[in-house]
Amino acid sequence: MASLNNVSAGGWPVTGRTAPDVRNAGRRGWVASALLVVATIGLAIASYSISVRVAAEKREVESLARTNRALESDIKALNAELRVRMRMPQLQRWNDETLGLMPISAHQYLEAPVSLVAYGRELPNDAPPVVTYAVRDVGPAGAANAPRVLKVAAADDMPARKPAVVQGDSAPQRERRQAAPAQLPGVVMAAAPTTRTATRNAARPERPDEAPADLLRQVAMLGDGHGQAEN
Amino acid sequence: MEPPATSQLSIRLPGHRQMALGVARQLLAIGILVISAFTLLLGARLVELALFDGAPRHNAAAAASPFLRADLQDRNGLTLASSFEAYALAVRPRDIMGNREEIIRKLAAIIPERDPALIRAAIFHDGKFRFIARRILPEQAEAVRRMGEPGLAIEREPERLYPHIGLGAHYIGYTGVDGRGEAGIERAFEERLTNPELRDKPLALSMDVRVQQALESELNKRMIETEAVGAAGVVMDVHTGEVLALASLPAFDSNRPGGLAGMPSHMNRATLGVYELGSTFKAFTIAMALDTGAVTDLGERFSMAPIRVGNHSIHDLHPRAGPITVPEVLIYSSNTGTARMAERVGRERQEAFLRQLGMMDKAPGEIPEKGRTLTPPANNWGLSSVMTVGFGHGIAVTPLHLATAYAALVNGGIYRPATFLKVTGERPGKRVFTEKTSHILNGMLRLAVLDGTGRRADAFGYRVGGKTGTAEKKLVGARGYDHRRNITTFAGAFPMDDPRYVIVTMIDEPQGGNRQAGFVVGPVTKNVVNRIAPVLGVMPSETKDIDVSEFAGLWTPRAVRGEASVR
Repeated sequence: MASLNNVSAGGWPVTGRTAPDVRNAGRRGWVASALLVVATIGLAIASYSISVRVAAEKREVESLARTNRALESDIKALNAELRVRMRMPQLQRWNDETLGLMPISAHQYLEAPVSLVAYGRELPNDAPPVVTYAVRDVGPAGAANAPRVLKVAAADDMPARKPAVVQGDSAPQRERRQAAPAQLPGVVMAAAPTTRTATRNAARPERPDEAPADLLRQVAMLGDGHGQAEN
Repeated sequence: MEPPATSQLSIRLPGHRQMALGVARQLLAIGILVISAFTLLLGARLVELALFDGAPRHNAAAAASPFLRADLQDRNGLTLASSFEAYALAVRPRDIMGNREEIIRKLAAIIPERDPALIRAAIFHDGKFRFIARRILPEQAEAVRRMGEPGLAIEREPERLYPHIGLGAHYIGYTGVDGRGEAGIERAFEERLTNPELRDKPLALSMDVRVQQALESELNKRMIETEAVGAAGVVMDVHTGEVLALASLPAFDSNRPGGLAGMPSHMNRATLGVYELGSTFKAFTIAMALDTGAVTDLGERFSMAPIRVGNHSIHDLHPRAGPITVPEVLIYSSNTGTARMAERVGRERQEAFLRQLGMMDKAPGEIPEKGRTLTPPANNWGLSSVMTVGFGHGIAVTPLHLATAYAALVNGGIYRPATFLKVTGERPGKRVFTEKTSHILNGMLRLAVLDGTGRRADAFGYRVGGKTGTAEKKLVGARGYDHRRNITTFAGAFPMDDPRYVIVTMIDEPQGGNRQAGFVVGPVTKNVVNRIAPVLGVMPSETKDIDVSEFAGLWTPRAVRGEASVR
């Protein structure tokens, strides 16, 4: 039996150890193994979750890259369409058929800003120079030279136009026709304005009755000169 | 020993056990070595992948890249060519599972533009693979995919789009059905355009689309008016040699180049076709004479009497009574005057000058369609050849040769070969003429437009200078020249006080009563200059003109000069 005492569970001879020592050592070994397993599992789970997260991130990046590529392709295609639509031969055809633009000629260039003087109008020698401001509407509303506010009003004496009646048309059609205004309000302007806004040298009619016939559609001017409303 | 044990006993020779042990050890060692070598190999590969292979590739994303072939752009960044992914519909007849008639009916509904008979032929094709339609729209491809027929294959192919249709077709070139460049820039820069690292970077050409359009449309208009068989034109920057526009008409649509490369429309008349360009060469002869000292005095008078050399004579169409000065030789385009000057220059110096101007080599520039010039053979470049070359006969060059040489003539005398790529900064050149010669020639060329044969080319205000050239074409299959078939050319530059752009226009075989260059290509040049000078930033002037005081008294100015005289 003495010889048995000297043999451990593993069958190796142990010297100088008692039975509790051996038991403790066994327990310690078991605990260490368990810890190792737990730690490994923990590490594995942690690594796996990191790996999953990285993979997810990567997938997202890849899908973003794919979207970018798709958008790039779209931009390229749209650009190409634009360029094809404004291709040079097409612009030339439009110009030849419709626009008729001409290259600038040498007459249209000024060699120096000073040459602008040649386009000025000669002033009479004795007359004081007339200074005209580019911005005209600067006076207060009540001032003498203030621009008039033109009011337009609908004239009541316009004959009412009868809605046309077509035989055999359906009710909704009739309704639609009648929904349109049967009578266009005639625009009346009471008086001709006294201040003129036409620019110098521009060929504008002096009075409304000198206006081309197509502009004379019962248009008269209402001007009170004080900016007040009149009806 | 017990009997069973003895029966199992075999005879062991002495040393047998040791030997078996040794073999086992050896096997073990080899096994360990193999396994460790394999492990090492794997490790090494891992290290290599990690260190030297760069970022991991994503093949799916790369396949969807929109940059299949690098774009081409003009000098201002406008796209001239770009690539797209297109769909082709093919069939593998042996893999068809469904009813073939049904498939034909459905396909005919999806692709109505394709002849059903052709679809039927493809579906019943007795082979492995056949295209049904080379180009279908994405919606059509989707519809075909939804049919779910395994025998139908949708192939993705790169498609090249040229937004300006036929503009600069000979310059840009085109790509074949397999996507490879087959002419022009597309062929010359095939490697650059398909290099995966450079595919997303566009290649900038020297072309200016606006200039190209002006040149092509004006030439085309005149070509139709004169019922000519063809036309060509070049606009070049004299200081860099950049070709801003290069036209050859009739042209083709780069998007649908058609099958035959031998068609007249595919012939690049500006860089491949060589022509005897006639009197435009007189400017070179005068420059050579002034440069070599063969003529030192501009006031020296040359007789216009016919010259007999060998068995033919050189004469002028409209000879003047008395001898004429050097500027008048150019203004009146005198054959005899330039022939006499060429005689003084001599063969060696003439050939050396022509070589320096690139006239003895193929056309300059990157595009592959380059014509070899026709010059007098070395053993027959006698006096007669020297004289005829002096006024542009007996030598055939391309319009691009002429433009490059004119650029050297007017820019101060420095030759720079033409280039089709955008140039940034200075380009080195080779001096051919002295600056003084160049300056004198600039004045004379301006006078040739103001008072000479090129008056119709005078774009008002832009100080155009240049020389017209009318040459007869060689008879086909016989000696001599055909008097009814002309090549009319104008070569010039503007603005002549500080030349910036060279323009060469050529119309091949104009019809009609007047077939002289001044009448045929003069107006083309004028219209083109009027259109391109403002976009190129050349300032016109009503009052300024080139200083020609050095020629005072050497010629008589016309009462009405330049454009005004032919209005």
